[in-house]
Formats: sequence, C-alpha cells, structure tokens
Amino acid sequence: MKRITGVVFLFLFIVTNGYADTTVGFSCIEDTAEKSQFFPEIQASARKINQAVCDAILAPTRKSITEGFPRDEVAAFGGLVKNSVDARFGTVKLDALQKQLLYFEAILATGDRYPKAMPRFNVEKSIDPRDPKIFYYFSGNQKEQGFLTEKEEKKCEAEATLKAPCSVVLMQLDLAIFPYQRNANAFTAHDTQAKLGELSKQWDSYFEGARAQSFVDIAITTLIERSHFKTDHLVGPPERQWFVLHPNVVVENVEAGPDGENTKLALTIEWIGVNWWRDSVIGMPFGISLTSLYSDRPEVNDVGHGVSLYFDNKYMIGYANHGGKNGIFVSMDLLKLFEDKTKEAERYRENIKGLLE
Amino acid sequence: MAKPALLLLHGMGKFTAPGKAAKGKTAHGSFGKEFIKAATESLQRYEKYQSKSIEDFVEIHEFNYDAWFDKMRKEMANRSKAMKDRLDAVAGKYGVTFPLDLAGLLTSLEADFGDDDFFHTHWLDVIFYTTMLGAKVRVDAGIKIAELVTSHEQGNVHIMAHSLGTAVLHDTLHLLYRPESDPEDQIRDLHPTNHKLGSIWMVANVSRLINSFTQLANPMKSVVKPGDAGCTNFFFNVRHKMDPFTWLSRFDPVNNGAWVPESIYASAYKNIVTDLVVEGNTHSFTQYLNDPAVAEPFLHRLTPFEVTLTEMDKVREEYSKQSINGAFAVLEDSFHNLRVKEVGSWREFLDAGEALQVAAEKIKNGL
Repeated sequence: MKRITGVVFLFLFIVTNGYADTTVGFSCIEDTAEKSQFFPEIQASARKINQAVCDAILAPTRKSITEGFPRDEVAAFGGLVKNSVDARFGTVKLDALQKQLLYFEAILATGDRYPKAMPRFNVEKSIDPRDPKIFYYFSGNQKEQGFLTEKEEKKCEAEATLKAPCSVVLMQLDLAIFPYQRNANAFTAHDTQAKLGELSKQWDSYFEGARAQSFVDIAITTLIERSHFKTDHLVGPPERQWFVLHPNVVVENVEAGPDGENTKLALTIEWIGVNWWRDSVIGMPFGISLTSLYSDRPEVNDVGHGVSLYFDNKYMIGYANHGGKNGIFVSMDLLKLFEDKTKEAERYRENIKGLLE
Repeated sequence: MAKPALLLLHGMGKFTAPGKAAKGKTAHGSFGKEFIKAATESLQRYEKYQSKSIEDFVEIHEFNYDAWFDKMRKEMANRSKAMKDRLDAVAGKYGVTFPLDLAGLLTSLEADFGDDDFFHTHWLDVIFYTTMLGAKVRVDAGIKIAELVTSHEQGNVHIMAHSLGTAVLHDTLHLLYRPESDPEDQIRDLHPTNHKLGSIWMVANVSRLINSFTQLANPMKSVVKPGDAGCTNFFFNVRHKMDPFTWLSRFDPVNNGAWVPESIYASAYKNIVTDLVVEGNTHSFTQYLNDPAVAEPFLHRLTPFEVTLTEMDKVREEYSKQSINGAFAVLEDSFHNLRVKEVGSWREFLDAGEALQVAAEKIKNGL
C-alpha cells in the first residue's frame, strides 16, 4: 500500500511540477531599502516587477522558470527608466549615461520567454584609491562605462530638479532600478545551488558507496575518464571506476588441492579492473578485473591467473587457474554474507525444531 | 545595501573548517581567522578605523577543502596500512617479486598518507586537486558561490583566494559561469551579467601553473576576468616579487586587448606586485594581506575607506620600516637556480617550494 501511495505521489509531483527547477528552500526577497529620492516611480515599478516574478516562481502550477514570468512588464521597464531619467536630468546631459540607458532598454527587450540578462546599474569607486573617481554602467555594458569628472559632478547640482552631486543622483538611480532583478536572479542562482547540491550528493555516494579506491586507482580513473572531467560544466562522479595493481584479501577453494588444504586465505592483485559503480547492463553495480592470485598450497602452483567479478560494489567472486588446477575465490564480504545466511538458516532451523518439539 | 560578502579560499596546507558557534552563527575556520586578524590590523593602521574590525564592514565566509582532503588521505592511509603487512608477508613467503613488490610499494607509499609532514599536508593537496578529487571540490565550491550570489546582491559578492585556492576558484568559476546559459539546462549556469561578482582577488596566483597539469581551463581565455564577458566587475592579481610559486606559468595578462578590452584592463584590472619582506615566507597569505600595497585597494573596494593620500603614504612608510634587512638578498641567493618560466613543471614547482623553505628558515633564524 505504501509503495502504491509513493508511486501516485511521485506521478502527481511530476505532472504538477514538470521541469524540476527548485523552489524548495527559496524565499522571495522583498526590497526594503530606503525610498529613492529622485526616482520613486522607477523604484515602485521595479518593486512591482520583483513581486510579479516572485508570484510566478512560487505559483503551484508552474512548469518552468519562464512560465508566468512578467515578460511584458520587464521589457517595458527599460523604456520607463530611460524616460524618467531623461525627465529628471532635464538639461543635464551625461553622454555615457545616455548610452547606458539605451543599452538597458535594448537588453531587456531581447530574449524570447524571459530576458537573457537582467543587469544592475552599478555606481562604483575607481579601482585605485589614489585616483578616486566614480564610474557608472549597467553590468554587461562596462565597456561603455562613464566616469564623473569634477565638472560633470557639479552639473547636477546646478539643475533645479536635482540640486545634488551627480554621483549621489546616480546612486539613487541604482537604488531605484535594483529591485526589478532581485528575485529573478536570486532564484536562478538558488536553482543552480540546489542542482549542484544533488551533484555533491552523487560524489558522496561515490566515495561512500562505490568500491574503495587507492590513490593509484583514483589517478587512473582520472586519466581514463578525462573526457568526463573536461566538459564545460561542473560534473558529478564518472559512471566507471578503474583499478590498477589493486590488492585484495580473498578466500580461495581449489578442489584439486590436497585434503585439508582446499580452502585457504589468499591475496589477489587486480592488474586492471573496471567497475560500473552505480548501475550496469545487469541491473546492478558490476565490475570485472583481470586478476592474479597468490596462495600457499602443496601440489598446487602458488600463483594463479584469472578474473574477478564484483557485484553491488562489495561482493566479489573469481576464478583462477593454477597451472591447470582451478580455484574459485570470494571476497571476505561475500564470505561474510554466506556466513550470515548460513547462520540465519541455522537459526530458522533451530526455531522450527523448537516449535515442533 | 547589505554588507558585502567576502568568500575566502585557502591554499595548500592544514586549515580547520568553519564550524557552528552559538546562536546559529558560524565559527570561523583557521584561514578565516588568519584573514580577519591581518585585515583588521591593516584597517586599524588608519586613524579613522583604529577601533574597527574588518567584520564591521564585510561578512566573512569560507570555503574549506582541506578538511575533506585530510579525511581522504587518512582513509587511504588506514586502508593501505592494513593491506601493506599482508602484501609484505605474502611477497616474502612466495618469493614473488612482481607485481606484489610494486603493489606493496604503492600501498606502502599510500600508508604514509596519514603522516602530517610537509609533503603530506601541503604537496599532497596539490596532487589531490589535479585528480578527480578536485572535481568534487569544485562542485562544493560552486555550491558556496551560488549560495552567496543568491543571498547577496548582484555585484556584492567578493572572493579572495590564495595559492592553490586560486586554481580552485578559477576552475570553479570557469565551469560555473557561462554567458550562453540556457534556462532549460539540467544545471543552470550562473550568468556573467545577472550573477556578476563584485571583485576577485587572486593572491599568489598559481591558476595557470595548475592548469598546465590539469589542462582544465586556460585562465587567459576563461570567463574569469573583469568586464562584460567576465564574471566579475573587478579583478586583482597579487604577487610578491620573491614568491617563487608565481614565477612558473605566471598569470600576467598584458593590456593589448587580447584578454579584455583595453579600457576594461585599465579600469577594472590591477596587477599588484609587492616587494617588502616582513617575514621569510614570501608566499605567506598574511604577509600579502598586511602589505599596504594590497590592503589599501582591498579596503578601498570593500569598506568605506575614507582616507587621505597623505595618510596612505604615511602608513606605507611606517610599514616599510618592518622590512627585514638583508632578507631580499637571502631570497635572491636561495632562488639563484630558479627562473621565471612560461611553462612550469612538477619538478620546478617542488624546487620552488624547497628553495623557499630553506630561505624562510634562514631568515627566521636571523639570516
């Protein structure tokens, strides 16, 4: 019953969520900054967009980030900013500012379902503390940045609608524009963080659940799986683990050995091996290695050569040929599993016996 | 506007991870503490900030990968120790030389991974990073960066990395940011405009050198640069003239438009070269940060830093008095076999480290 409920729940989850961008743990950000002195209408519009983006993100029926995105409002925002700034600046003309505003208007109008870029208006101190200047630009258009000369700084003070240094006016413009992109950009970063969290868990599974590797094994896996690691994005663990000169302790049985010497502890060296640690064609983690085995038994060659097969990242069974005599070996884990099963069977037998008596 | 967030990435060596403190706050790790001490000392040299701490202006975060590397090397050592004895016994008993000898040797080397000597706590970090273990570190660093970009404003996250940390940071950012990011991507990349960082500080930058080993991403052609095509507003590259780790495959782009447009290079990139020797280890993070040549632009970028030119000059003059007489000559002498090279090798990397250790020891013991 539990399983059926789980499947139904999973089905409903997929149907209602579709594309799985991650809202879990995301809280919308409300802009609570002080009121923009010179551009309150821009700030109000920016905050409205921010709220609309939030509503779209948290809508229960949303299938992707683009669904419900206030596309038209954002596209119109660039024009609104330009018109408001033009009106407020009056006769003050800052050439670089005009270029920046045109860039902003154009960039918000691009993109199909939502804008590719939602830049911030930056007002920055220059890089050198010994040459203090104020720079301004929209992110993405730094190449056309403007900087305020002393002469330009004073222009705004002379304007009746401003009566403040230009740097102060521009900072107020940043304050006003800033909120429009806050939730959209925070959410996409949050989604990236959540997806990377899943990758990190895969890595944890690799190091905790896959076969333990020596440093040499790790180095050889890095080399052989290099195409996996050299992609253009952050990656999880590879599908395959590789092993070279990997030692192991096993229990071997040689049927043709002298009586009392058939089953002995032995050491194996995997010359080279591969393990599909997560899944494989047989429906479970599976690995295979070319193996040499060393054991001490009269009338049987000490050294045998053969293969080892790994199941579920821990159980190993193998075959080795000692100069014509066959040996079958198992890992200690597998032996322990057999022992546990034998003990379990013995316990059942005792229980049944007790009941019958 | 919220306080700027500063993420710190340590270099090679032993560093404790940040932990949980009372009232849900984070207790800084050893690298964070080193940074806070050095940055606060630098800040307090200026009269207006004598009673201030760097934490009054900046929210400090750390990404620690050493604790995980440490755990890995100790686990490898423990497994190998158990296996080593059995291998030795069997190899001796059967008179088998190969491959048991070789496997025994490898196992024996790995059994020493648990030792806390310089090789295992420093060089092994670099070796580990060049393997797939580095890929896991980059994913975790990416999570931390994405977390800060989520919680702080665009342009309000700054990152400072030292030594090996510069390679970790470079490679992570290169794989995390992409301009052509598609909203339908399985893992959405961060966007160079929408998630722009405030500034990046590469202290003793070895990202090109490490890349010559990993071949992962060329720092001269990656998204880790200032300007419109880059992931940060400002980029600071810091090196000491006598830090031999920065002599190999040096990151030193020129202003010819090839790396970033010339106007961006001039306004958003700064190459800081220090030369004062206040402690023998010229690769030391704290020595870098204590130097006003680094502290000045750093404080200017992340704090209000209302300081006159005269006071800046005075602080520099005072600091230069701490310079150790004769130390520069000792370093020059110790490094006489080392060369500034476009392509560095493992051997030269190790040589640089050894020469620096010798010189630092000599200076520490009174030249």
